Amino acid sequence: MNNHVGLSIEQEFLQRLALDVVFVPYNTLKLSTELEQLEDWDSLAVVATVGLADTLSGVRLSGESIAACRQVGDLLSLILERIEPEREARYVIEAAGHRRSG
Amino acid sequence: MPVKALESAETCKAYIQAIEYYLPVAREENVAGDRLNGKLGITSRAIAAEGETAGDMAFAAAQRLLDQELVARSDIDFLLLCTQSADYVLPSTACVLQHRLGLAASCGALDVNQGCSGYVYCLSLAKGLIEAGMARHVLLLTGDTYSKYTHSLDRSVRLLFGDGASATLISAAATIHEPIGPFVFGTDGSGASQLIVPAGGARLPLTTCTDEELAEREDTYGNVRTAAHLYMDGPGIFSFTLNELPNAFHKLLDLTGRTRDDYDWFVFHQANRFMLEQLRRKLEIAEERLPVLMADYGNTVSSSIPIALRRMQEDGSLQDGQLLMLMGFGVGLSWAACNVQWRETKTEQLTLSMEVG
Repeated sequence: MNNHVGLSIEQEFLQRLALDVVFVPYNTLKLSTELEQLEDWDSLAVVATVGLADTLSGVRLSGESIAACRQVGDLLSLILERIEPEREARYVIEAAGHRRSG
Repeated sequence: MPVKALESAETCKAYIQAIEYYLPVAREENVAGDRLNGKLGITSRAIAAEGETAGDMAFAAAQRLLDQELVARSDIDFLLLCTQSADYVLPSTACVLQHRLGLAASCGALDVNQGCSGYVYCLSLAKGLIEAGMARHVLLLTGDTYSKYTHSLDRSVRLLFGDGASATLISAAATIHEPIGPFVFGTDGSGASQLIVPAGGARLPLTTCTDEELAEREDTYGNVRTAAHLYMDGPGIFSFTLNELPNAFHKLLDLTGRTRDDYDWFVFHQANRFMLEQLRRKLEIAEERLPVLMADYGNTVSSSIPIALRRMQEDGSLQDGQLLMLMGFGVGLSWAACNVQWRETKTEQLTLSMEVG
């Protein structure tokens, strides 16, 4: 169950980060990708990541915590750390509902 | 313009009669091809000349409006100036402008210290003055010179803010409609330090600042500023908008029983393209309903909504009877939203039963 949850969020996170924040093809982004290597990783990308975390899970991240991240995976860990267990459960339910309706 | 008395179903309502604006001639170009600039959607910013103040720019906007002679200068009952870069610590710049504009001695005048939410706040004050029978014509001015607060090496704010001013004539009309309102307000002073010029006020006067306090400091992004410059916590401000504005948006819909589809335009504070796009998606507003109009002059703080309205009027986007939602948000932290039923047609002005002035 936990693996499944992690995977769902990871996929959506990578997709949104690629398309909405750093503007690269989805499949080029890995958890090990260095943020500094991405041309669009700038101060506005930090702001956009605040939006990504909000959209993905309602988590509020500070600019400092995002700016301290080195790799894509660090950003995901930051979000996952902040997600409460109940919110995690709600995400699964919503995601399942979305897949059914979609 | 003809005047009339109230008929039975009608009440005295405030409406926006005209808007004009002024932008300084000088432009500072944001580097073309720069990826950050591309995302912000700002190519150049209007910059006030050395010695050109918010009062000067508001004066120029007011002259453009009053020269149309929609109303005699002597009939302006109240002057509101929304600014965070007043000409003096005291007196109110509005008092200086009352004289400069040749307004009557019976005209009330005061400054309102508010930023990006200021236009919506001042509309509520103008509506209150008019609908309580204290004024027939309110001249609402906005003006700011944030460029004088930004450090040239601070890209986090330098690339965003432009200088500008606006003038709006708000008048009384006899109508069964609600041309302005209702309103939703909000404040979170715990975020005061997220958008701030720390030095220069009474808390940290420039005359007593130490060299240490006024020293240039470089942050982790390489942006440079002193305590006397504008500081913005971009992620913090963005987090606030995502947190608070959807509540304000839905509260206004609930107040009026309206849905998104009832609105012709959502004219929001023109912060930058990135911010408006993120907000638009969060509020699930159709792209064509939310104008983005700041590319060639930048974020003009409390002037951004009236300048956008005037530009939409000029290009024919605004039509009589359209329903608009205005929303301002930013420094304070402060936010406000309201409905405006746009009216282009000349309205018979109302004779108030009480004598004003």
